[in-house]
Amino acid sequence: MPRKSLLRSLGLLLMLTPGVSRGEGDGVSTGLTTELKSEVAAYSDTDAVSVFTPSVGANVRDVGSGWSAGGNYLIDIVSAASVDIVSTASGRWTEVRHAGGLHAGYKPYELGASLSGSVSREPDYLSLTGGLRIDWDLAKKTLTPAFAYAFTHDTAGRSGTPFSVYSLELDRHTFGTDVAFILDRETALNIGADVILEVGHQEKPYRYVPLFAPDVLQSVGPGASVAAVNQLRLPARISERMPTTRQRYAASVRLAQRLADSTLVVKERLYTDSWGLKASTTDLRMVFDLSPRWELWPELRAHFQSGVSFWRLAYVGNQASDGSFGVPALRTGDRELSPLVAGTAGAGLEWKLGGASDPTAFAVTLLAHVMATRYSEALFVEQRIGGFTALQAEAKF
Amino acid sequence: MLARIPLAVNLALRFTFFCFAVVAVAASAGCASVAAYQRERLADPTMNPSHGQSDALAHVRAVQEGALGGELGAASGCGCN
Repeated sequence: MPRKSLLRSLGLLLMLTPGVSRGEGDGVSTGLTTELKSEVAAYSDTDAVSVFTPSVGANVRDVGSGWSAGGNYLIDIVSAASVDIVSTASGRWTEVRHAGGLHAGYKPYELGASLSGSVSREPDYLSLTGGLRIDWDLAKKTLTPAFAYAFTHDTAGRSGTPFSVYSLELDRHTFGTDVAFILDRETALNIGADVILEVGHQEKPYRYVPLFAPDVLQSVGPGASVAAVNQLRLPARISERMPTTRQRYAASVRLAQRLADSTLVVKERLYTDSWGLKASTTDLRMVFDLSPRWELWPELRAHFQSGVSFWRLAYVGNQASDGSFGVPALRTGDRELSPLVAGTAGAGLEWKLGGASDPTAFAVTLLAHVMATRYSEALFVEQRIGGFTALQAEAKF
Repeated sequence: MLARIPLAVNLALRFTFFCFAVVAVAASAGCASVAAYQRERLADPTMNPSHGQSDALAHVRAVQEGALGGELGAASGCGCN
């Protein structure tokens, strides 16, 4: 569907949705609130990957009784001719991912629980997730610990081949907790941690790892071109092989402070896992109230990570005298497992179009981000620049 | 399959212990007493972790970064009402 038509349709949807939460007669709200959100997002980068993502979501809450329910749906239309695809002598491909989720919660008093489930489907990938979250307000709501568990089952296959014939399975258990602290009248602090256990296969069925003889290893440098790699590599290319278990640990802290006409948000995440990858991610955002109806926020994100312990710029293959071939037991071509530095600079602009009593009842938001990633030990690509834009529309009834 | 269970149980037990530790530390941390009528700024939508977020952007980041988790829950933290 053309982008303009899609935007027009989403706008019409938002305008035509009946105000089910309106009270009778006197205009006083019954406590039922319906929120609708739509987004059209686009991403493109210098590695010839582009993604177009329209999405819709809805949420209904009854503050009086404490229940809520909602759902969301999105489509990812991915078009790629990245160097990883070109290096395997494949052409450009286009793929569509459908993802949807439902959630429902009940929190009548201090203690509340919510359930969620989601599905993500591509021609060669299926991901199913179910989760439970418990929130508990303590100390007159100045302290809110929350506990969550989610289970995800992923199935990866090859396009055109049934999962019953070929598939790689991956299970993920996520245990999470976070605590929200109210520090004073304008400052909130969140501290959280996740423990994630993954069991199964994380190899990509289409990805092959080039091997090099020991005597040419010095000639293979970061960012080596497809032509150079093809000239130097051994004829055999082998599939990825990674450990079948992975334990991930992430700890986060978020500080938000609301001042007279601005909001400062700082977030830090520290991460480590059993594959040896360590990472730090820092987010900084400052929201400025330009007027009662306009908000503008610049934001920055910096991500640093080491590589996994078995990452190599170039893997060595050894041909023995008896003709047998020795290959590394663990190997991957996924450069997101390599040492990298990534920086994002972006901005958001929100226009509140609701009535005078509640300008936020209808709002339009524009997001724009530029992302740069530097790979210090990867073949084919040393740097990637990407651009992301999104237009969101939100309505409350 | 059976070989997977002990590790998962082990992690679950450790996590449960960690949760109790979190609650105990949090409960003794001594948050400021802020009455409901004093929470106007805390209730501002810009204080909510979900403000200005995009699922599509989160997906792009998840694909491009090797780290996972640590997304503080959007359901808590505003401290409003």
